[in-house]
Amino acid sequence: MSDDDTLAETLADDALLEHLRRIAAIVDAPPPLLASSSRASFSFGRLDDELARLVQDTAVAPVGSRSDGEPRMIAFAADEITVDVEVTGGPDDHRLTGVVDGPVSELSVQTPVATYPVEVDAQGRFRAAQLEGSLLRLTMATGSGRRVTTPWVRLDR
Amino acid sequence: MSDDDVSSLVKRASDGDQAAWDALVDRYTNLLWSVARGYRLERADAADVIQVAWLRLVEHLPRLRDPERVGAWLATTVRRECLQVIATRKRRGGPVEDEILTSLPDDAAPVDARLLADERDRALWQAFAGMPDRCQRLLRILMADPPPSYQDVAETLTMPVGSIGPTRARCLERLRTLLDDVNTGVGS
Repeated sequence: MSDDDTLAETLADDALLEHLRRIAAIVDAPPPLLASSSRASFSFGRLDDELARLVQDTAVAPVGSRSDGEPRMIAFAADEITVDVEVTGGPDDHRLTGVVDGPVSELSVQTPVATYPVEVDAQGRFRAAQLEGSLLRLTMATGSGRRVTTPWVRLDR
Repeated sequence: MSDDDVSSLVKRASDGDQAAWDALVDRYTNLLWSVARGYRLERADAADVIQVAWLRLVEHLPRLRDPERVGAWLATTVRRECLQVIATRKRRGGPVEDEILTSLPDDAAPVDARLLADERDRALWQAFAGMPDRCQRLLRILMADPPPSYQDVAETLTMPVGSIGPTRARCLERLRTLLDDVNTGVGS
């Protein structure tokens, strides 16, 4: 094969790919709402908060390392706080049952559209139900006035 | 958009500039969509994993090591989330990959292809949807608008950068063969 052939093929490939790009723009364009929700995610920056670490998530554990049908368990840790959360329920009715260890004076469950203050009992236990959508995180205030926020968690649809 | 422009947008966004953030969203939404759809995620799942990537970026803005590589950072985050969605589906015994295409008519490429007026375009898209996974992933990400650099593609799909060009050529060749099959009715 001469260099000319290679060049001709590359040009033909470029044209074919450009054609596919035009087709994709018609049949598989991103939903218009995607860009607006991505723009809105900027307002969820909490740069002054301490970002808790995700220390365990059974949903991202290697396949086969947990039994099917068991609830998803997620654990977060920050300087003064640890949180363990069990996720049950299904799409648009996710339920959280959790326990927080540390000086938490206030706890909220946040989704990209709403914030739900949640009551924490004397043992550190809390519950939240009927959570809509598929993304959430927890934000907490500690006794010393610091704020702690967990990373976002994506729930199954 | 040059690396300098991208770094300066990241810098301005981490200083709280919403307009700079919006410019990043406009620049990369199509790329991230192409990555997620290349992994054949349903549209709703694709939108979720992309929103997660942006929410994670907000958290990481001040600590981002290579601001000029933010596109690759976002695309890699989307790929990891895609793999997680696929793993969850497998664990549940739900439909994966090929089965998703055939079991969800709203998402299936052949149905979407009805939007195309030209029959040849429909055949081409149908042939694309019948390609092996790795070709679909690579070609779909290369279809992003604006097209990504080979370096970003390599990082996102964890392929050596030198293999992108040859693999692209092989996949497009294969697409032409599949298209011939569609056109002559072989395998239908």
